[in-house]
Amino acid sequence: MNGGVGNTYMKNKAIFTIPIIIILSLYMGTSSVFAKVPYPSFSFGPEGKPFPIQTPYMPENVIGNTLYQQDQGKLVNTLGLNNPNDIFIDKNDNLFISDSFNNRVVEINGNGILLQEFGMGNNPKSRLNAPDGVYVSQNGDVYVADTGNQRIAVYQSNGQFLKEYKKPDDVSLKNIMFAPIQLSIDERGFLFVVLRGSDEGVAVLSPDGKFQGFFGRNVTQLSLIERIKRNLYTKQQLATNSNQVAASVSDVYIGNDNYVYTCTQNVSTNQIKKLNTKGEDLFDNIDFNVNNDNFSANGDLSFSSITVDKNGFIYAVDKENGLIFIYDNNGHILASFGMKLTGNNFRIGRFGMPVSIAVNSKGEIYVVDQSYNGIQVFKPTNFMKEVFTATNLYNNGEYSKSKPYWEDILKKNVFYYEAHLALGEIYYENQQWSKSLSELKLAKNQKMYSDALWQLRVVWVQKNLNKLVAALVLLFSLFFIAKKFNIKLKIKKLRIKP
Amino acid sequence: MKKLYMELKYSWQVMMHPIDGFYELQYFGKGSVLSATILIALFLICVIVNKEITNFVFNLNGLEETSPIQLFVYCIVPLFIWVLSNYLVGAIANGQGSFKTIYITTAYALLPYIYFSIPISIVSNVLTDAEKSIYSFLIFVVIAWVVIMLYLQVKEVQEYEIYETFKNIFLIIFTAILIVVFSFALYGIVLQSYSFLIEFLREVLAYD
Repeated sequence: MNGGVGNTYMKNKAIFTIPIIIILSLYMGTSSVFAKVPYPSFSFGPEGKPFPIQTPYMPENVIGNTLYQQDQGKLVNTLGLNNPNDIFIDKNDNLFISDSFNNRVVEINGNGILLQEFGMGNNPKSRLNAPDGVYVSQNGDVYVADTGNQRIAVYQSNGQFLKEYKKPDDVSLKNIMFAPIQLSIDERGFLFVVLRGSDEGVAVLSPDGKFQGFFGRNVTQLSLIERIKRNLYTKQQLATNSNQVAASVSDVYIGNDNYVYTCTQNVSTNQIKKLNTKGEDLFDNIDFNVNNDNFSANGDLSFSSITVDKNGFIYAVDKENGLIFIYDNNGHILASFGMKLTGNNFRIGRFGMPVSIAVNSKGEIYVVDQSYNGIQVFKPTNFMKEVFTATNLYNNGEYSKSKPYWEDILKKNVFYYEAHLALGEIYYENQQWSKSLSELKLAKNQKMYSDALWQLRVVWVQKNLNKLVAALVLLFSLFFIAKKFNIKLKIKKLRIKP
Repeated sequence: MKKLYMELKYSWQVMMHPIDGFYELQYFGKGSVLSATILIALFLICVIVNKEITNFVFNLNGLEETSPIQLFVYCIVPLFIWVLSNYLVGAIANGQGSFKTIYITTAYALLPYIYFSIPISIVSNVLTDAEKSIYSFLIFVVIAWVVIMLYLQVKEVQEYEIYETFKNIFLIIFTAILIVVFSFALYGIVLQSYSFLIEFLREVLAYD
């Protein structure tokens, strides 16, 4: 009895305190967050609807605009980066950056200390000309997309020139300039090369330099006006009309899971692709578009670079809008942050020309920004680490282990959509239907909600079948009695009337 | 008070026998402007309540994405445009309905929705995606009923033939579209002339 009273009292109290706590936490959360970092952070629910989240990454520093060299135990300034194009992080967390205006590739450590230079030797074969993409293979060989020399140059880890890949002698490459800008290498040693201005997709070369075909071609997207034009224009007019080619791939990355990830700029669908060996896109039915009413993005997403970490999380940088997006391995968005650089308002986290992105083993993000002539470094916050842990456990099927993490995330951010969705599914698996229903409603997942409701209904009917049948029988018998009674009444009335 | 109760009670009769019902509303004063306004208010309340209580499976956003003003604009304004254009078309096409009768009968034409939509929404809470066809069939019946009521309303109140009614309904819809277009144009002109006036005053009188 006493407990009951206490319980209701607690409930009443909770009704008042919970909203206050939520409002307070929101207020304090946003104010403290915006005071610290110069950019907003969002995640996105269904239909690309944004909601604010805690800062997922803290700005660390900008490295590379001046480099340092170890000289007799002292650090000496050396030539800094000039228009860096691409970054790759090897398994020892060393950064390989293609420094295009200095015609070299540098290997530096996380503090900006120069370890090694590539492409600077006297050997004319070894010299680079406006290099772009860099890739370091498992055994430490450095592959450089030497755009200016129209080849791929390969160096040993000590800087020694090893070999080069020239344009393969193949019929399908006859009319295409072999100007590689990005490359990645799969398990077998096949090279996946993005060629400048090629609308055919990614060129695949075998380890001995033979052309194997194109891969992951984008579909030509015709607008309505273009389609009308096609029907009305003469052949001559069509020949002069541009904008009919498929968008060219902007970056390629082969993850540990051996899927080929590509991204494309200036398209409105399939901005990110996850391709299997057959060239099928596993993200084909995912809508990457976000509703940009509440934040700075204007127009479509335009990913210039993509990378995948060892856990399969996908990081992509949007060059036009100055935003970094983080997805899980199923293409669900986890977080986004960043801002477009305006004027000379240089602050870390505001992106001018973010051309390349890489992640080291600690989960720190390195973004090459040509406006800074350097690399912006971001460290994940505890919130983001928690999201990663929870997503990882959840995607590996360890539902019960991931549950406390999701609950903690929701304590920090009640809007976090992925957490509601995951908890809904966890409760579903645990057969806690009504809890599952409320979470799935918040996650706006109608299909799973319907399934849970089905289950709940089955359980309810099984439990209450006796009562249900009894109630029905009672109702029918009452109905019949009332009917008979009614008839009698009517007869009585009829008798009274005359 | 008693009269109002009788007027509202008569609504069931109108819904079940619309031809007689509309006739009696028109000529025997079985409904009033007050009862019609109450019915329209009930209609708006039904729309809001349905948005809240319909099962999430058939109702993704609920009341989250709307506001009372938005619902008012989407539900009541089209109704008034219908009444207005119905009257205007009737006035030049030998219609017998006065503005008052058209207003009252339009409100009574919404009765199937007022009576049945909330029970359907309550029933929807035990339905899942697999029984979606049941839910959409029930909703279809209600909406079809309202459409038939509106058709009979035009036919009976204006006293048209069958073919004539279809022609006039087409004209009513056309007029309604024109009313919307012109009111947008008028809104734009008023806005423009207001800003022009402000600029003019600022220039001439140094008004700030």
